[in-house]
Amino acid sequence: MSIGDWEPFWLGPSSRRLYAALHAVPGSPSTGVVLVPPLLHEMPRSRRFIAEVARELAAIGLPSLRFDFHGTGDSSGTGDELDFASMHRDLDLATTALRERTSATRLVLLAWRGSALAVRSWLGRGGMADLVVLWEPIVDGGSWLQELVQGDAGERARRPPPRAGVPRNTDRQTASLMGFPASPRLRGDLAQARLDGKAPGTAPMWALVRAEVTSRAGDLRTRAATAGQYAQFRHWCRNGCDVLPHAAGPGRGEPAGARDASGDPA
Amino acid sequence: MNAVLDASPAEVDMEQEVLVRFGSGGQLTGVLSGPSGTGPTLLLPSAGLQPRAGPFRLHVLLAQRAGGEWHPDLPL
Repeated sequence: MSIGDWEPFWLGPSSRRLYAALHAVPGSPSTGVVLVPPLLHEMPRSRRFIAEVARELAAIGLPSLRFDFHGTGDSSGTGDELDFASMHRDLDLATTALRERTSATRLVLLAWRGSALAVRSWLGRGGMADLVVLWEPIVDGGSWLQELVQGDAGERARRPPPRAGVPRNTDRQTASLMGFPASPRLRGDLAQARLDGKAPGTAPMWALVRAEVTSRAGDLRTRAATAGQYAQFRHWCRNGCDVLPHAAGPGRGEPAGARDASGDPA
Repeated sequence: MNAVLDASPAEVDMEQEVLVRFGSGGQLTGVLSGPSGTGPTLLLPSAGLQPRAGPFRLHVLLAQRAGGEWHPDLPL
């Protein structure tokens, strides 16, 4: 499947270049979208999907820009340089590039999973957007970090030990998470980040969640209770966002419809 | 090989990181790294569903250390 017309380019100074791709549209659209990828192992796994989302948005007349954070994907840097401060700089670059390369004056941020936490932090530091859409956002960074640590330990336990003489970093503060570097700064940022209370700024904030999140709330509530994600998500949505359940997983459908964030799912 | 013959730079970076598009309709994209004409070129095609950067960014890290690389991939 083609992802349509798009143009790759480098973003930012050569000493700190980011990979970016613009899915342009004809005419002079007033609204554009910056797609903010998820973090760590979720980023490469969703790369194609995000490219297809960009294509779909461009097809309905919304120029869309996707990019890789510094130290991730095709961008320069190493993974241990990734933290919220670096992501703030990257969001500045990406949003500026969209405005400069298109006629868009209204900016939509579409952020996946853990990046929702960084986007909220960016908004709190004065980042400007006209609409923020969070796709299956991580609500409690601390809980997610623990999930990652446990998941990483589980992955390592299922694999043979390293060969003799091959060092392995077993320091829980500096070792990689799910195969990707995670610096103490990033871990600290995640541990303190939560989507609670009203989001900073004036931009409306929506969340996209899978339909089963709302249609099978009991199951989800049970499963998510361990991490505390669901309850916190609902608390946050009551106070700061709208919820748009989408019908299926990546690439399978349009949003199924709007639901009052305060309504208890059936 | 046709892909290489049809390749055209999309954007050149000051540090000689070149985004190159090739293939039918320019739907494939690679990154050509390092100084040109200085030696053999290492070709790192993407594997299966892995993105261009390679598993755990292996291709990018190899390019940084090798100083020259060409890693084409599907247009991701």
